[in-house]
Amino acid sequence: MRSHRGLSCLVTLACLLGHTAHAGGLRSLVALPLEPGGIVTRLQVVDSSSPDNLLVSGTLLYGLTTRQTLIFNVPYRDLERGDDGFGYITGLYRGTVYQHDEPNATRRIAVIGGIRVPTDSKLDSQISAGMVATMYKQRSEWDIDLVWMQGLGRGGNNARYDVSWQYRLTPSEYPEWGIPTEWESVIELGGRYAEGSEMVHQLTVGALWVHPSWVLEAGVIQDLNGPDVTSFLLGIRKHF
Amino acid sequence: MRQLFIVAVLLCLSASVFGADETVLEIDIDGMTCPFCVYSLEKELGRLSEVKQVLISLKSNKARLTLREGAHIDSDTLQEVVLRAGFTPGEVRDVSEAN
Repeated sequence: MRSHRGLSCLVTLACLLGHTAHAGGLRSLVALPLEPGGIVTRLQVVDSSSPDNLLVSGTLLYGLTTRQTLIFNVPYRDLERGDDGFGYITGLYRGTVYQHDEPNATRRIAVIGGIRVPTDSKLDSQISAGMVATMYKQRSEWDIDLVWMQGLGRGGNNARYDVSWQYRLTPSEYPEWGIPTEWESVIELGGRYAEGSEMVHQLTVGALWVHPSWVLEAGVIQDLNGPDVTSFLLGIRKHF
Repeated sequence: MRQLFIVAVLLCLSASVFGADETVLEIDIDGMTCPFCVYSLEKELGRLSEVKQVLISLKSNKARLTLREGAHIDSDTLQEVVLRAGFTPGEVRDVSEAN
């Protein structure tokens, strides 16, 4: 029973994390571009109020072409406090299918597909499919994603959605030349569904400190229903 | 003292002559968002061997490129680089004289 609970926690925690490493939300996916050959990495730590739930997650994005990106994610659970170590290793393909750019604005839609491979024999692989839309204008960015994870074999299905709004706090106006550092606030509503239980909706509030080549991020995630777990998130993203 | 003055004047004149050979281009770019995303654009433009300096303006939605002495880049090449970085290129202007 404890093992089953541990597995559930692991799956829930893995779903807590965003698999994006662009600028963008704390947990949502994003449809912004990564140049061909470009690499972005992200390290995230999520600490939950429920027992043994410290999770470290590493994400790597690789720009295949202007419109195609590969995303790899490996969550790692603290062995001191947990019991299983890894969870799902995720490999995703993201392809931009719509792009409309304007001065200081963009609207993009991308499709997502991939596989989640468990490192634990008690879990089964999953196939992921979904979409993500990003709308950016002036100081605001909206990211909306919806992903279905179809269990193969014994495993159940999972799903997730996120609606993320980021607002540039500073600078209120960009300098004439040069890429500045900026502060952004983030508010997100997300839902995580695991077959056999109701969808848990979560509110995330946080901030991003955005530099041209790296981002520091922090946030608080609160369950709006279900387990009533509060989690704290810290992360760093680096664009190589 | 007089000799020093003459040397300084000559240096200034030579600098202005070299400056006159420097080509400065500006290209309009749509779709630029936050600094983290625009970094790739700056990187890609900076990789061009002809480019000495790249400046991005998120305020005016354009990039300014100072080319190496005697170098030349055609508009198509610049626009291709912007497209490759994931953004939408616009008009390319030679603003050398304005600078």
